[in-house]
Amino acid sequence: MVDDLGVDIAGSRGRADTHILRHVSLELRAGEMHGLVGETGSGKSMTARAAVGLLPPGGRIVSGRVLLGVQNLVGLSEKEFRQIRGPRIAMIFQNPRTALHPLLSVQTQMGNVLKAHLDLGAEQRRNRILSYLRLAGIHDPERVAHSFPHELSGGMAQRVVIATSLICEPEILIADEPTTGLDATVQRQILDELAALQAQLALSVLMITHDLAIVAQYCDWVSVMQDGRIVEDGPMRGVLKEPKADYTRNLLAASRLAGLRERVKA
Amino acid sequence: MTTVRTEPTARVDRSGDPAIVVENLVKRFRGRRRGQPEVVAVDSVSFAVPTGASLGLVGESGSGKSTVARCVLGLLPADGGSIEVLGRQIIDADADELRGWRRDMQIVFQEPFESLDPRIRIGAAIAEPLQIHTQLRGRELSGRVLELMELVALRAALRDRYPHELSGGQQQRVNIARAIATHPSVLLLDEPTSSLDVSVRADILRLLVSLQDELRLTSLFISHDLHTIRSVCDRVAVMYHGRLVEEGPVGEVLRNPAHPYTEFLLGSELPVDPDVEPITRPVRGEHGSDVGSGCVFAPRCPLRVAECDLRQPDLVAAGPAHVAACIFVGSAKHVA
Amino acid sequence: MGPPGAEGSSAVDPLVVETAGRFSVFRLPARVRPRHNVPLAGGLAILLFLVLGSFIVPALSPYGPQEANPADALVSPSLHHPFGTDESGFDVMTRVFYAARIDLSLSALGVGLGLLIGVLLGVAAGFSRGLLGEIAMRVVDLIQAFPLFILAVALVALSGNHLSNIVWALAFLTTPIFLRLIRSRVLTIREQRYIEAAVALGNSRRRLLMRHVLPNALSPVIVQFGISMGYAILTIAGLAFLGVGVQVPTPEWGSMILIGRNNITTGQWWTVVFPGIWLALAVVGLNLLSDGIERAREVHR
Repeated sequence: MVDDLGVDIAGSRGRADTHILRHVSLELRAGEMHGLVGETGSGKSMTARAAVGLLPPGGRIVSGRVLLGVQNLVGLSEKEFRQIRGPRIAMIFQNPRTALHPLLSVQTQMGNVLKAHLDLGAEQRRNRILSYLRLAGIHDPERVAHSFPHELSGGMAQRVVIATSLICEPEILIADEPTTGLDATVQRQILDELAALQAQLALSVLMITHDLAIVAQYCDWVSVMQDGRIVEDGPMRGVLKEPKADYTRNLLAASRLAGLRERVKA
Repeated sequence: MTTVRTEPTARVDRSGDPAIVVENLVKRFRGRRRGQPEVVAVDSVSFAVPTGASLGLVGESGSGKSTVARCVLGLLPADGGSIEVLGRQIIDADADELRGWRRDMQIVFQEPFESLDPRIRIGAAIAEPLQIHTQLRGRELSGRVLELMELVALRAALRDRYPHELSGGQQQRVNIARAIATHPSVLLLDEPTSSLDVSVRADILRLLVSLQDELRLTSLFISHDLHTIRSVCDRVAVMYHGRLVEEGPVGEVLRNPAHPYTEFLLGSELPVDPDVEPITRPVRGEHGSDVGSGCVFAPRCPLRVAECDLRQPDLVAAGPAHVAACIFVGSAKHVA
Repeated sequence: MGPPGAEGSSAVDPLVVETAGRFSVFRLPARVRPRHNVPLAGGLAILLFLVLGSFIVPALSPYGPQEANPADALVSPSLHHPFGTDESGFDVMTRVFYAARIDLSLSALGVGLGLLIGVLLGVAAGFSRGLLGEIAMRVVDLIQAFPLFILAVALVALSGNHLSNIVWALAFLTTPIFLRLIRSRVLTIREQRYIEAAVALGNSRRRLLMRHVLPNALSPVIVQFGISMGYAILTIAGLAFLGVGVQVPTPEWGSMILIGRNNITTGQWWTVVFPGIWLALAVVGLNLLSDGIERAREVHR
């Protein structure tokens, strides 16, 4: 099944009707990890939110479509969206601890998600929760399931978030800067695990990030955004090795810290 | 460009000695909630930064690197050890004396906006250290501020702006201008570019490197990013869970790491070039998990043997001016 | 969101002005302009009206504010007495305007004193780490638990019935409010990165407090001043009712209302309504003014 997300938006918002997204188009191909790169204010997060109907108050889509398969997601009611979010499209964010309910145990939270979308008995739910926690790279799922978010480390919390997002077996996962703020070693672990999960579950992943290194090592396709527009779009290798847009070239140079030689002791 | 001379500081010229000498620095924090044990944030850390050199302090969150920086400047009282900056003992120094010394040692923090008083215009913010430590006033003062702004590539017209009217990169330049205003000899940088956009990061780093050369600064650069340190520092010290585990020339340490943790750090780096394969290292566990009385890294270390859990390994030589705290230094064993 | 005001054109180098002054509270040309700052303009207008009125009207009026004329008691509003007269034959209009002097000055002094003491102690309590701060707060708790009116009566018993007792009573009442307000702001501010940066620059404790902590901590205090002054005027009335402070025949809005409140049932509304309106006007004007001042101080937009 081809999961094809075609997005063409000119989102606008606010008092003076600022256009925050202009004619943004990208296509998430089945089974691929698609990197959406940009700096703060580029609109990368907004694009994802617009796609799943999570625009902030005052924001609205003024043109374009969001295609999930053949269904256009623009203009769907909140109720209809809720049937899509979870079972078909899942989203994970940057700060894992804020994504989890601080007062509920992991088990309860994941159970709530299951109850909302699938019809399973209590026993089945528990087993499913444990198996998905294990899938997300957690070695002692029993202990984690009974824990509360503040008892978990950053990396562990993010794994729980990942497990929760996948528990209804979506086709698409949108990851909005999932590893920003995590330590380098943990970041690497999580990204490796995500890549493995993607292959295992045949997921299509939209990886939103400002880090070109993540794109270089994990993504198949990349779109570069600046000021609400897509500046460049193409297969990862092509874009990173031979960037066509000036902005992309500058971004690459800056990421490599070009111009700063390795210091030799005087 | 005429340089307005500030008053010469009464400081003994010790260009032969290292500008910063830290010996067995210890800092503990009481548990924040009931039942939480005391945390030893910095556990007997020692290092020296030669005058005019730049040392990168690398570690992940919880390693204690920021705490070390604050102790070095006397912003946090230490619980043990000795800290000498420009020949002056910082620990238990007299408060007024310490304040006077600050003209020679400054810091730039990670958060560009939060480091600035939101009610004070940036021109005045840059002038502040000069008002405190020098007799410059009026037109001379304004002149010096404009000079500093030019030095960090800030348009003079911005001096009447408030911090929130500036971009992150500009705010950080203000912080830098403010920090070098009194011609300090020592400059601490606590993750100065981590909160900035990628495109701005390179510019700021380039500025810092050129300032370091021009002003002959001795700097302590704290970061979690190896790539930054590689490009900016002469030497590097690696911290893990409050202990210094490796130290040496930056090229040497990052090419031939002697400590397993350093190897892990290098292994987690992601190259921006898609053709370069990232090194795959078996990294286990989370920072600071299950630390006992032995080597801090033992619980996660693939080279772990019984001896590792007995006591903390000392720093032993791993090369010229290169030390590491691991019992396997010098042996053929490396992480696969 | 461009640079504030037309300062660039002024002769004085703005940078020099900033560095010369120690308090940055009142240096804001642009935001004081009426078009941009309605509350400030409105508040000033009302207060100006009240204050000027309190001098002009009694001066022009043929009746003194304390001139009793029992023969003319309870005359309804007319050409001779635009606001009517009260039980004792006082001309209500003259008294209503005159009362502004008493009410505004007493409450300003009382609340002002409370602010001064409260801010000083609050900053000290907020900045101290450890036992001193805690002890201070418990003392404040005690003070706030103390019934105001008993204090006022006690003061009168001790030192006689002077107006200054009201000022002390008001200060006593308002000090804890300002103290708590400032203390909580200081507690937050002292953890800010820019305070740490200011320390790293070499600021002395005193300079730190004056230059960085206070200016940032004052916002809620200024607004509270206006609110408290409104309440203070009401408190003055209450105290007058108890026989503390303002006595008949001194004109004071609150006591005029209290004295005249029985007249409403007999249809003589003017003895109560006019003082009431002026009282409300004063409270509104004060709140607007303090709001306006705070808005003028605002740096974020």
